[in-house]
Amino acid sequence: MMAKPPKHPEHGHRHPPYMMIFLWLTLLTAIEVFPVMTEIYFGWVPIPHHIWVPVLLIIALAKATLVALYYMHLRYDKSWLAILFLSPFFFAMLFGIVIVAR
Amino acid sequence: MAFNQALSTGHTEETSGVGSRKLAMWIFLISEVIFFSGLIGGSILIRVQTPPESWPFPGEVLDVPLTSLNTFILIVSSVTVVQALAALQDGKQMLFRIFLIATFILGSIFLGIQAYEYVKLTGHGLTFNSYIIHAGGHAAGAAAEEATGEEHSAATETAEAEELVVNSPFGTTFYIQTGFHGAHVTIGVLWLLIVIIKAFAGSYSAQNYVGVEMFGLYWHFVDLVWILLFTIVYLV
Repeated sequence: MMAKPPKHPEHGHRHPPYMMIFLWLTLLTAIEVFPVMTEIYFGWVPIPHHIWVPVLLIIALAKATLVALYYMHLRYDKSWLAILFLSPFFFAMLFGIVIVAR
Repeated sequence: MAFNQALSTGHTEETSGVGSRKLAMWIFLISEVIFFSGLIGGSILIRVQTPPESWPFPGEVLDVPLTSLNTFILIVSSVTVVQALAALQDGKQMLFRIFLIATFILGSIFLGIQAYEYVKLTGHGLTFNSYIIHAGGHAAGAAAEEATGEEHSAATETAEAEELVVNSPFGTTFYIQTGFHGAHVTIGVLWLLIVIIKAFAGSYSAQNYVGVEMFGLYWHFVDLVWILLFTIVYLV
């Protein structure tokens, strides 16, 4: 999906597509808040809350993953770091899903 | 000699394939992930065990538009941090310092808005144990909207008079989650102040950037946690 970041000619640093990630984060945030905003300002609920909640959680996880992979450079670092860093969030979410499903 | 040079630049490579200072930072961040995971998991548990009528809908108590703006500010601050690091690595010192100052301003604005939100919410009756809503909800609001003139003010007074105090742990989970996050942002802003002072003293260069990179990791972590908290606390 993302192009390989260009290599700096002098120091060999690669710069990930920071602005592209920023645009994605902004777009996903706008999608997240859209139903709440329409409800607050127009009294219109485009999507029922119980349907929208799982979508919101997926979008939040996608945004967090983008930040971790590109802004924290985990995509370009050792893979075990990404596993160690993200696994507690995964287990917390799993815990949340199990609790909600009870 | 080589060891001393490595220490001064922070490029001490361990068998893990990650520099020792950076590895220490990652271990700290992983402990922070566990801390916030526990906090978020505990809040989810409290919410599930609370009757639905004792938990407000998004926007009923909290100012979602204002916090959406704050979320955007924090996302922009993450961009300015990565751009600062990129500028430093490219040897663009002036740009590096400008991006650091921009991050400091954005982080301070975030904290200012959060402080304003706390003052506003406590003024509107959100405590650790309860929150206030208008009795009759939409019905009372619609009556006030449809009325005109003197009727309008009378209906509004009626709606205001029908404020209902709801006993709920919502305030507890809200203040604890956002409060701990706000404390982390405050530490980040103070850390950034030190980084800016060192940047103007010429302590960083295209070869010596690990100090900035470590601050960046912390700042992005704070951003990442807010992305999750914003959804869980304000939108779900």
